[in-house]
Amino acid sequence: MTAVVTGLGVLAPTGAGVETYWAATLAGRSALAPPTRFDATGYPHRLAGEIDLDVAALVPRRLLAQTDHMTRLALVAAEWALADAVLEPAEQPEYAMSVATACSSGGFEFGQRELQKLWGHGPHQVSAYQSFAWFYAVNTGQISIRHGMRGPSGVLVAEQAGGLDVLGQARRLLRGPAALVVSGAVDASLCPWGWVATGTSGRVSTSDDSARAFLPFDAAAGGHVVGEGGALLVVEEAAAAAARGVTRPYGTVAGYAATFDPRDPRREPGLRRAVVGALADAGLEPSDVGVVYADAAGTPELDEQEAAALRDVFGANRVPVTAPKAGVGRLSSGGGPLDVATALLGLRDAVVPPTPNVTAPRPDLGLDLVVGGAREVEHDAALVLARGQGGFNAAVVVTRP
Amino acid sequence: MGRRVAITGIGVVAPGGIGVEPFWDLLTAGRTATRTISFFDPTPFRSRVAAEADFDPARHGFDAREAVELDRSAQFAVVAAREALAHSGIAPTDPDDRAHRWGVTVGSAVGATMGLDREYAVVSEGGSRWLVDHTRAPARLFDYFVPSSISAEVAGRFGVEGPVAMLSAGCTSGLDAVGHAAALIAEGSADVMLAGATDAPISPITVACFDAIKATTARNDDPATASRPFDGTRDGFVLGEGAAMFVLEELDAARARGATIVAELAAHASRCNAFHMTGLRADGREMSVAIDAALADAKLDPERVDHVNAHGSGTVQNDRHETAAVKRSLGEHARRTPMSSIKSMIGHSLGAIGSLELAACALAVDRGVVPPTANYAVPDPQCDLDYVPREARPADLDVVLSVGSGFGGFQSAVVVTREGVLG
Amino acid sequence: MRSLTGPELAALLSDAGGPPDVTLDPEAFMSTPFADLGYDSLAVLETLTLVQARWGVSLPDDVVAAATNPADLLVVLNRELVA
Repeated sequence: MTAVVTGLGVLAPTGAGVETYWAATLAGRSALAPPTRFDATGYPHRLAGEIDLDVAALVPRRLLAQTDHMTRLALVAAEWALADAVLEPAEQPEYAMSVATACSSGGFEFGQRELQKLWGHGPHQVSAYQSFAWFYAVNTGQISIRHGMRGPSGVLVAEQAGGLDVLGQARRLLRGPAALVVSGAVDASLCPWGWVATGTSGRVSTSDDSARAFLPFDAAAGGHVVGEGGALLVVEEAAAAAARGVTRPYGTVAGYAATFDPRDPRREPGLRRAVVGALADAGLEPSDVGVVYADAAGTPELDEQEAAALRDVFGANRVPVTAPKAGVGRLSSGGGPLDVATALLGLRDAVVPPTPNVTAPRPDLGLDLVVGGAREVEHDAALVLARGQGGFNAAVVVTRP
Repeated sequence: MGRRVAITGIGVVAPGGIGVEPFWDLLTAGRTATRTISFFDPTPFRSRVAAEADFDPARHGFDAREAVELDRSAQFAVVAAREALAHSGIAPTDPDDRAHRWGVTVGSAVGATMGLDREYAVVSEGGSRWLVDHTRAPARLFDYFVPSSISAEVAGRFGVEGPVAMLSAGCTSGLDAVGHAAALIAEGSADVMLAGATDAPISPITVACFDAIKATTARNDDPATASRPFDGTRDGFVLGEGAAMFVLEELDAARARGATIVAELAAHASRCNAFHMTGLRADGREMSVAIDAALADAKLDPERVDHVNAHGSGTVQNDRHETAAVKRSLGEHARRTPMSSIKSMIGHSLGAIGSLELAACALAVDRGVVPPTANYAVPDPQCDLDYVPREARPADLDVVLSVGSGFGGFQSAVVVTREGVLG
Repeated sequence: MRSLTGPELAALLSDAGGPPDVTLDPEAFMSTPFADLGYDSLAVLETLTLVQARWGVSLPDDVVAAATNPADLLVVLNRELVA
């Protein structure tokens, strides 16, 4: 079974839509700025990666009262991905279409609104839609309903890593009854309640300088900026895609593995094993990989951990490494799928986009970090990494079609 | 057929008793654990009944800090996982060092809802400030914010180093998490999975949200009989809480080490109704497709099903939908098949219930007893199967089917068999 | 307590479940079944929640069960609101 990506729906702070996002990413643009949907000036963290799009105008009005901002973004991304794949769901077998999305925290702004009513005014004011609008499975449910997809579907939650886990899940479903899977993730919790909650991770930058707040692998790394968005992908069984006339998919989801970090400090963290596992799953050697899209946590210790894993597998400075997410922030479960979309576009155009804002990569890390501008690199395979806070590691290998 | 999956350990936290034996005693006695909500003052709420677990964190090894900081749903998962591991006799930290080959899948519909609800009241000063106060937010809030912390707690505490995730699919989470774990074993991504589900939703926000759609019972004057699946007088479900965790092993490896195999996890299938976030199509079509797929995967004819553990939530809509689905898949055999709902006794613990029901299925196979549907007295003409009213029934069970249905349109089916039935 | 008018109810339904599927004059709107207007049971329940929030009341369970169109709902709601 070969799982090919035939459609992309991208919603990122640097651009809504595949080509807008890709142009901004190649140019190394950064979209980190004070959030506009609420006043963050009183909080320790004052920068965000916010999507500049009137998403409510793109969702059927009937769904507005029952959807969080996150779900609206997901519905738009799914629609765009299906359009990009030139796929009309009504013409596909209903039980062979699945939805496997990741989610980190649910529809948090919707949840805040209802908690505010509950505690401020009492239970009789809590919305009838609260029973599902905030919960973790909501995006999958709404996408399934919107497009009549009745195949096996669900949601995986593993913080950032979950966004790659669902691509592994998509392949699993394609080995079973599914012929196509809407997969990936779009996350968003840019509301005061989500803001304060993410702040308690202890990893969010307190810098007010948008060019200096999120500097993975840089000597000045001091945390990350929280963003919103992500990507949904149409993943199809290659033969099924070919049968409906797809001649040039973006690429293949060739390998995937997930591991968990032990709490025992004497034992090795799991990231290296995830990389090795994904390469083995793809049947590739480290030398086959042309670029690594790093998890890029942006704290010195976590950057060192990631660099050590990469050095161990690839050797020091042997493979270009990049982190376009430095320009959009960490997008929770949306970050991994967005990086996969980026990696597929990089394979298509034989180019590696730069890591925005980073100017002084730490030489001691032994990483060939792509900074300053995009680099032209003919390559056949890209590795994408995501770590979820709590100990989750996931790796995906995508290859040229 | 790929690698097969054995259940070699079970752990349970449920209303009416902590641990497998109190759980099984309650179910086979047909006792109910539903009562007036005691966790908070339920007076302002429409539905004031729940199935609460009498769970003392200190008795289960949590220190004072953990008792406060670890969300109740995570505490449940840890306690159930510990019992399952002890039952199985193996652990990821065993000297053979196979931690990399162990994984964790915990299902949950609403994660750390209790923690979020409680902390919101504090940081918003009783719902009076939208720009909530970050100085009053404790570090543990992040773990409530990302419910994957529950899976991380289980994996980290017991030393699992393979694939770990939380699975969320509303009220089918507990079936789907176990199905997911079984798939990881079958495909070779792991050899042993610590899998199951947890939810602790008895909190004002959850009670309020089900009040708003009138999905929960209003039978506040008689809490002990408020959960009435399939009964003609049913008026909604009773919110519950709990967890069940399993040790799932590759069957040949379990046999080779001489493990006590409680039952086999023979097949799992799920489908979506793509119909409505909360509504169900009356004909039960998608659930029936899931049942057919699970039985086909296990290579079992519908006539082989000896017992159905129903979703049986006790809402008017669900119980008719499910009855229709089972009749659609099992045909005439449905009428001969005892089908009961343990939610009549332990309520509906959302994402956790599917795993609690699978625990009941495995124990039913192992011990030869069909749990009853408590409180069943008045027939509903549209629910015309054998619901095993009020009293447990001894039966020789080879094949048990468990079904579930969840908000979001999820419909799932799991087949549990006696070891060796599949050959 | 102040009663609810037809146009107010139409606006609440629209807030709760979006604009109706069909464009009708106000009178026809009121007598059209919810299902034909495109409002499912959740939209109607959400409308009740909005009434409860704006009027500061708690409505009994049987209010929705009796109503199949906006006109019916208006009657039962006003029975409660002015009681």
